[in-house]
Amino acid sequence: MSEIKFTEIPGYKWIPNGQSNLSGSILELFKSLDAMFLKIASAAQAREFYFPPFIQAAELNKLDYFKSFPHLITFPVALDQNDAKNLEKFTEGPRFGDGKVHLTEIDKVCDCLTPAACYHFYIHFQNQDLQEPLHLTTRANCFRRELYYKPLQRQWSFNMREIVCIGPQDHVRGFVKKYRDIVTEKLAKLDLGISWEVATDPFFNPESNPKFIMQQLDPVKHEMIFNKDLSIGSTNFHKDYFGESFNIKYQGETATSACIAFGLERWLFAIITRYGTNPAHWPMKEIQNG
Amino acid sequence: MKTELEIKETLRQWVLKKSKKVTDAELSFDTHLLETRILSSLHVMELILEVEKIKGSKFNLKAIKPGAFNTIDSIYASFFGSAT
Repeated sequence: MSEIKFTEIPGYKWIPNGQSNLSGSILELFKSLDAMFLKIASAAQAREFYFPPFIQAAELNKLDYFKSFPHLITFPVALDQNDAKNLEKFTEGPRFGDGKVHLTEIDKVCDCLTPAACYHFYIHFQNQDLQEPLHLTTRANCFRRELYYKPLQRQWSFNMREIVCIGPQDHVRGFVKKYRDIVTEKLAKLDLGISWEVATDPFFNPESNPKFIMQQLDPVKHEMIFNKDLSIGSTNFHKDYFGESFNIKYQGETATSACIAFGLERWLFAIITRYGTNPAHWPMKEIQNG
Repeated sequence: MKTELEIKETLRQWVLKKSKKVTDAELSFDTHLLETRILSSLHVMELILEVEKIKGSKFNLKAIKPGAFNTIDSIYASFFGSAT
């Protein structure tokens, strides 16, 4: 497979701060892929949600997120307005220069930009005792700080579609297996040459993090690897980790959960790498019929 | 050097002391410790130290294979099997 010339993709523009603008043909491809994932989600009658971009830091703290992933997190910040002089200081100061904003005092930071789409569900359903298993789906604009960015492959801001199941262990285990089979079948139709590989989450200082050691000892994450090194999606069997962290019960017992995640921009990259930059060669019918 | 049975029983007693999720009668050498979450991730970190203490040497965390801490039997096979 040859290297993509991103300037040749109709409707595509890379922004070097780790984001992509989409319009025209590539936006159509993006929408069709997401519609395909939604169709996959509908096999489980998954209920669709829209979530806003912020997550309260107090909620992520329940997952020990700041210890596990400090390198990935992005915080929305605002100038402190409690002291009126602070705004004056800002407006009278250099405000902007050398490619960056010269902030004065910032207000306390209590929120984070969404790092993964499915977190919203565990927060939304916390402290509930479910009587039926839940099947859910959402697409979220996710934010992960990285040391470097690459168009459609490694972005600060990207779209993640997830299908989530929360319920009893056997049901959730069956959900993961069923969806892995469904996704494998779709991938075969698109001829992307994906392999499934066991993976761990990208922990900070992994060897001193019990959660990483646990993932190593008892693998719960399987990634769809394109072109030998790019993960375009994953299945994640969380066991009762989120159930315990957010006190979600299923008929009185701690609930189990799992999710199937698709990175939309990475799917665009896989399709374009495989089929070229000319939209006439993209497998739109296979995707739309998917 | 402790016998196989002594090492496994030491590990079994350690699990019973640390975990509130299993009783003496329920816990055998082939009981699944992770799948059933008898042991949490923090327990596993402590258990690694305990295994190192019994064995008398440290081991490379990166080299631990999936499944090594599934049961007391698998812990014994992974870290003591060839030495006793």
